Amino acid sequence: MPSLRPDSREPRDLLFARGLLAVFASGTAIALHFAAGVSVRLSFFVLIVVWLAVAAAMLLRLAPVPDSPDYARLRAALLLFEIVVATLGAHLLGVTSWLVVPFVLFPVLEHSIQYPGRRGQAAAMAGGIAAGTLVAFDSVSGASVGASLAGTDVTGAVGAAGAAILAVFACLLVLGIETGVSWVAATRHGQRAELEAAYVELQDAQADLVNTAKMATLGSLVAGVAHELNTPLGALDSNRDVIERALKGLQRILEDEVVTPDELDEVRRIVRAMDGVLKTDGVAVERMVGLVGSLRAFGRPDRAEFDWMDIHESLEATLSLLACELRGPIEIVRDYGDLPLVECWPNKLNQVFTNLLLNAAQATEEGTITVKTRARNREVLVAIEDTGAGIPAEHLERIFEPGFTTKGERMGMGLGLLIARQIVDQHGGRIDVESQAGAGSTFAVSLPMRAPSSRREGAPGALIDPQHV
Amino acid sequence: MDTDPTVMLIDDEEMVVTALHSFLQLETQYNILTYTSPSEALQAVEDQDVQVVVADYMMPGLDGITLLTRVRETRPQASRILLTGYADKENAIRGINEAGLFQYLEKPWDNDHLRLVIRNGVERARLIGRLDEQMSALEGANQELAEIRQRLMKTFL
Repeated sequence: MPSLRPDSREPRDLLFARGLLAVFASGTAIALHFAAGVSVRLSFFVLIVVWLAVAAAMLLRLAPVPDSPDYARLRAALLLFEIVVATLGAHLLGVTSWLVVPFVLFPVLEHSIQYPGRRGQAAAMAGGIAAGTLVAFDSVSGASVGASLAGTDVTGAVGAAGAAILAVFACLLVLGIETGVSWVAATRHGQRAELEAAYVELQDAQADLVNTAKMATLGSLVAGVAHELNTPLGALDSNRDVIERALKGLQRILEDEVVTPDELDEVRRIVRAMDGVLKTDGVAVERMVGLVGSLRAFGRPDRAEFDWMDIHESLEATLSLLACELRGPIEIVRDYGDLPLVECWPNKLNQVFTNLLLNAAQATEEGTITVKTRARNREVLVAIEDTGAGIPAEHLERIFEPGFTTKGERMGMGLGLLIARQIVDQHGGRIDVESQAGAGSTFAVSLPMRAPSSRREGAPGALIDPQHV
Repeated sequence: MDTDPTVMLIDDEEMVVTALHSFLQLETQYNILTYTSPSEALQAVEDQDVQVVVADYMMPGLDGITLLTRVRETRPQASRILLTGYADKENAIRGINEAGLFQYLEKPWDNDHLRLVIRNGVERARLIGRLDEQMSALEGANQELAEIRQRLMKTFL
């Protein structure tokens, strides 16, 4: 009995064998039929074959994905088709419908087991009603509808054998069609699955790449923080040593309980040194507290992912963490306007500012980096302006391309600006670039004061899931 | 030497010069000068004699190597020491090779090592100073000798 498993795991050669079997059985049936010399019946038979071939061609074109609703619908149609062909075939040959009943009931049963939903039940009921009607009609009239329609009166062994063969043939033909459909469906499904797998792989690789780029940025940041911590730590370490020495000196003086004028000078020296120690310790501790504050403002472990943020606070945190990169012959100019709070992903915006400031620092050997902020209309503008090397016109169009870098392998992966732009896109903003080779560059980030609500759930179709950038 | 040696400390981070000053004040008899501005330090070097100059590398306006190179022009006998963060190590090595620095120290520094390096720097400056003195004394003696010889020649010829 024809049975189609909506299962793409069914081996293709098994499907192929089933198809071959159907073709072989059809051929045998035709040959036997022809030998019996039933030409009128043969004409009906040919009609059915043409009908089936057209249906098969249509179904093959559809070939939906296994397990999809379309596939279930197709199977239901095939089932009805199968019942009609088997019943009609038997009738055309003038055999009582009882012979057809198993052929009708079996697929109905199978179908309703496989698709227990309403659709399966409806199909099964329709099939059952169709078969029942025919059987009932035959029982009442005692004659074959098909035989009377065809104007023939075939009785005896030839008629019975022919009817049985045709019924089997019809079922096998349907099986063949089903096999073909399922094979095409499986193939298409397989190709689609391969494409989907490749796409997922590509997305994973991109996410890995972005992560690596993120880590590289973080690396510069960490190196900067380490350098910044080094200075107060060095001072504190030296002071601890000075205190130890001073204490030893005082203990030595106090040992003999008599203080000579020389020893008094020594005590005065210690007191003067301690004065410096105390002053330095205060400044060093203050500096380290400030750095920790900047780190917290940058990372915001205590804040929601999507929140209102003070852009200036974020810029200051980023600037202080990048102090090491931005020191020496680079002068930082702050040209801040009055800004309202901006609704955004603070961590992600910090990353944008980090990338842009690092780029500016790396492009500027000596000169100024101006950080300018303005509020206009319902937008906030943050411009990072440098007087560095600038971007040649031929590179300007490519700077947002993934993998485009002029920094060399050691410095960059060519993803910093891509990531920055995607984050800004997610906020519903944009990055404008103006640059002149040799004169410097301006990267202007425009952000709406409120990120569009549709984007808060994450930008669909983005190369990188902004939630994980 | 009659007077205490002079050590000049230059770093744009005040806490660094203060910490160094506290230590040297406690442990040595040097005359200590501290500066957070490289240009002011350069001016001071012109105005007074120094034996050792300790400078940070990364400073706004003037980096440590350039500063120490200029110190050599004014005070060639002064020992010049670069005090730098780990990140500037490459520059420090370049400085020693190109600018002929006496030593470089890494931050965070070890006080004992710092004292030793400064003491060696002071000693070197003192020896160079003495060498200079002796050379000029020798030159003076030579000249005197030449004059005496000339006088002798005039007397006898």
